[in-house]
Amino acid sequence: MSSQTPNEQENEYPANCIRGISDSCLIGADGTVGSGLFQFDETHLRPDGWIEESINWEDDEHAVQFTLDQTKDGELQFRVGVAKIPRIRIDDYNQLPAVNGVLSYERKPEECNRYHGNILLRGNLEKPTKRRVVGGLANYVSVIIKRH
Amino acid sequence: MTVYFQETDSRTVIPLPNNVAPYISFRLPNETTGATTDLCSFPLAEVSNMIEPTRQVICNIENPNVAQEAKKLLVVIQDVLTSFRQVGIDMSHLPPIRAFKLDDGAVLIEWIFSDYRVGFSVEPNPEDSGWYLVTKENLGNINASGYTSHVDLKKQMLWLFAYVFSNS
Repeated sequence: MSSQTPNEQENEYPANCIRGISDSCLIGADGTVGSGLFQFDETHLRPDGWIEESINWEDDEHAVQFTLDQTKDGELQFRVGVAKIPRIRIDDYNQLPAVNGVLSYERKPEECNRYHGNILLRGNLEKPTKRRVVGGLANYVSVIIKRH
Repeated sequence: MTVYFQETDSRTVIPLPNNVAPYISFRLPNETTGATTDLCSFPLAEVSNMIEPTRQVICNIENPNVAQEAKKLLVVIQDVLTSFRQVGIDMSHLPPIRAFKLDDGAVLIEWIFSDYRVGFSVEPNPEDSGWYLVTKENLGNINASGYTSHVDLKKQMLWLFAYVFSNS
């Protein structure tokens, strides 16, 4: 496993990342979000030891609408809306002793999505640790934008 | 008066909606053969309503082993909440406990608040199942977790839910 984190060039990142929401059950009536927003499926484990979870970076004012308009197999990919997570919250959370750098993020633009990136989670965590860290990440969702 | 029925499989007790209750006989035949009656832990409608969203998700879990473990967990949650309610803890202002099915086959049962969440994961391998409590910085950045196998789950849950009642 690499000791390098992919997000070394911090200044290249905007204030927020955007995660699409495809299941309305994830959003509570009070605006809270279930940890299921972030799956970190271990089938997405990479050779460098990170599990990736797709996000878009809010590089400009069009990024949210772009995410809402994304399609998959001819249908809207995020039927419910999107959630914003402040990058500084991820950084602060990641520095806690109990989290200890198991999170990271990166840009990974795609041909049809220049905003695309990933939040990364170390792949060698025990299950309760993984669920806890993901729960902590979900705590820091700052804004939910529901589709009209 | 609230009328309850008990789901035989999970043993969760559920209040009937008021518009249905009048049509149900109060002298239902006792068709439950595997359950024991424990009036001390008979849940109140408040508790049943709090876990109803979770019960609905658990009823639709495909993996029978995960479903069975989740139902066991839900019974413990119901018992613990009932015991808190019986000592006078007001739960009327609290959000319901929710459940989420994950792509990897696990189920999360979470009690989510604006500044913290308490959760339980039921994993396809029951040895991996666990609990967690994570809070934001205004509540001390608590990040606690552990396995639920080989621990007294009811004691663990009492501690976690006591935190909830102290901070809500």
